[in-house]
Amino acid sequence: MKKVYLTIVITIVSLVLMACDITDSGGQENVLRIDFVEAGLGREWLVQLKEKFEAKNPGVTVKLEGNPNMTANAGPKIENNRDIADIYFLLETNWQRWATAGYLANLDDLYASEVEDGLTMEEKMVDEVIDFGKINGSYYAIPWNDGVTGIVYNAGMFEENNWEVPETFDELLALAETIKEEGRGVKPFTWPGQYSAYWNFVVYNWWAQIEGLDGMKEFYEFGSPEVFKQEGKLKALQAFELLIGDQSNSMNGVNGLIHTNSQMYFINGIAAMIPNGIWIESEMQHVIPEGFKMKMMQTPTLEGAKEPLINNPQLGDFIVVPKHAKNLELAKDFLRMMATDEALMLYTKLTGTPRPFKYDPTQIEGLSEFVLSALEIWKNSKPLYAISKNPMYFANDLNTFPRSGAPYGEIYLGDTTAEEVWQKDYEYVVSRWDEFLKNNNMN
Amino acid sequence: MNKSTSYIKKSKVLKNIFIISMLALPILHFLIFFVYINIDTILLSFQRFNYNTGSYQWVGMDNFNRLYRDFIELDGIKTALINSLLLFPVTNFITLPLSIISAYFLYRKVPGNKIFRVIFFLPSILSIVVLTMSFQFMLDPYFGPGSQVLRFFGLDPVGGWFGNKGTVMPMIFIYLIWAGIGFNVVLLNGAISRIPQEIIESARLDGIGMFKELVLIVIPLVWPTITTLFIVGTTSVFTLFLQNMLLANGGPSGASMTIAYMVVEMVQNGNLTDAAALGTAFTLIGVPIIFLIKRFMEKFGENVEY
Repeated sequence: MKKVYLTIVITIVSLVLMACDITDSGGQENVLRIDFVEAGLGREWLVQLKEKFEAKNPGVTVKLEGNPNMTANAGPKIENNRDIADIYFLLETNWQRWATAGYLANLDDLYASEVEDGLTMEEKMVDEVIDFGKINGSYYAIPWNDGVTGIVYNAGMFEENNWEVPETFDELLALAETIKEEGRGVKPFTWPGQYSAYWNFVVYNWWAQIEGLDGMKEFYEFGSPEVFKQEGKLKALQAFELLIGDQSNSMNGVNGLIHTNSQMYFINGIAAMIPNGIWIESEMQHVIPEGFKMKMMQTPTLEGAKEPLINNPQLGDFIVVPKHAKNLELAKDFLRMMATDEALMLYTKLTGTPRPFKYDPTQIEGLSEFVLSALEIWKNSKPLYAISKNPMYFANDLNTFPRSGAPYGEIYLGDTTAEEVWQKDYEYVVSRWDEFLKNNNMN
Repeated sequence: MNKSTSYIKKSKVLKNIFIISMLALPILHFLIFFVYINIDTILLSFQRFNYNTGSYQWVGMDNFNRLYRDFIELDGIKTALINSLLLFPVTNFITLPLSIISAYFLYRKVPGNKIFRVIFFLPSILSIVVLTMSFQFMLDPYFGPGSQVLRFFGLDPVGGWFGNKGTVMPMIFIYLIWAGIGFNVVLLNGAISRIPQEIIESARLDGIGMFKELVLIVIPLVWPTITTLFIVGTTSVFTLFLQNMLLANGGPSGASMTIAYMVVEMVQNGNLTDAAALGTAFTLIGVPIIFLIKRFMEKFGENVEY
């Protein structure tokens, strides 16, 4: 009988070891493994950076693993220290939990180290994003993509019909009427109702125009429930209500569309404008019809704007290095290399997307008319980086629309009004403020 | 004698080793992926992540109290619960009877049964992503043939079929019925084809019609399969989310959320403790209901053997 028990124990232990591989966190010396989200930006940028890095570091190999679901796949690996990469390029997720739980490498020395021309990583970064990767006084993440978002328009259609690009909100409203009258069935807007947060790209800009960047910073500090009474939020939502609450300004069936469908309608000329970002061109590159011309417009200014030129870059995608990465120093070298002017220009050239560092991507040759129009906005606007360091934000207790998420679909359908959303968000936060403080050990 | 005793002993040990090694993997799988995960989830539902210390701390019933408050004060959980509960009649009282009728007609080899067989079986072998995409395309506001036909009859909801609160769930239910029939028909067809031919022939000699044959002979004889499908259909109340996610992304404004989808969304947002609390609460409600239904179904029909 003893033998039987022994056999059971041995079998179970071997199976556990086989299944869990608990002793190995993965990785090989001098083989820098990079796991990344391979989606709209493709992988060519990373392939070229890999070649540059390998040429600079003889004996080092860079191994790339990309897939569209990498953000979801990376979490369990990082948290269990199993099969981990040396660097992760991921989309917005709660990395703050990984950092505070001790799964990520401290990058303080990387931020303080020289990148080129005597400039440190910290100095090379756009000032407003330096604190993006900081939590509890230390750096654990680096912002990956900067962005340009707003209203993308069919430039060919605008030229053909002599429609002027609007500079103010009133001009935008008037343009919508003109398109309906002169557009031979073309609708002013299409947008993805299933991902209606695409309207954040425009509404946040209006909000920041009214409140200014200091007002937005105050909002995202979430110091008290009173920030939810900001006038800018109400005015921005009311502007949206005027524009999109008028259902004739959007194509039929818009509230049920996903982003790729709405983009298809846009490039096929069914609607003249779409709320979107600089990535739309690379996302749709295989289906854009020959001769189709699009550009991004500076978000039209609301009356009473403190800061008329605002860009909402949708900062959130990030780069992290696991604490137990096999090639920690190589990983930092790679990230340092990525912050050089040469690598930054290469990145923007291949992806059409800027990074939040101090360089001038508009000087890159061969960029499309669309990307150039977006980069001009990036260069000339004040960036609204919605960064919050408040634990209530990490814990999903608070966000921009804490009561029920992005309200755009409801306003479009006429189920609620801008003022109701604004008032109810405020009342919700007031009624739960003490609970949020308690939940996050802030009382 | 000794030799033969030792041989018997040895072969017994070898047999035990064989049985144990065959059982070890499924038992281990059960221990890790059922026992451990469920215990961990229950423990997690009484904790909350502290961003100052980087660890989970015990918060007693706080997560459950918060869920209760959300349920009372906000529409989100209420809508998700109603949508989830509606899955019970849709899967059990619409899809299942239609599946039984379809399987019976296929069994009776009605004219065109070969084409119908392909039509019914196709959804059960295609990926859910492909199926939902085709269904969405059918109802696309501009190019969808389904939308155009419905528009001809004056049906053209503002926001589209998946973008309107009043139409999104009915559309998802129609999808579930369309895609669900195929899976059920595969199982029911197998069960019906095992009914002894002599029973059917004897009934037909007595002049039984199709309706009576279905109700008085076929259904009682495939009752165990129907019971299984009924229970599987009931569990969908607490597990179904993928269809709602792929067809409508839970929208518009949460109108197509289900309880399982809420849990998935919370996990995706890194809100593990609230997800654990919601999952635990609905497991406590759901498990007894499913056991009661199982007992009721077993009592209601006989467990036939042939």
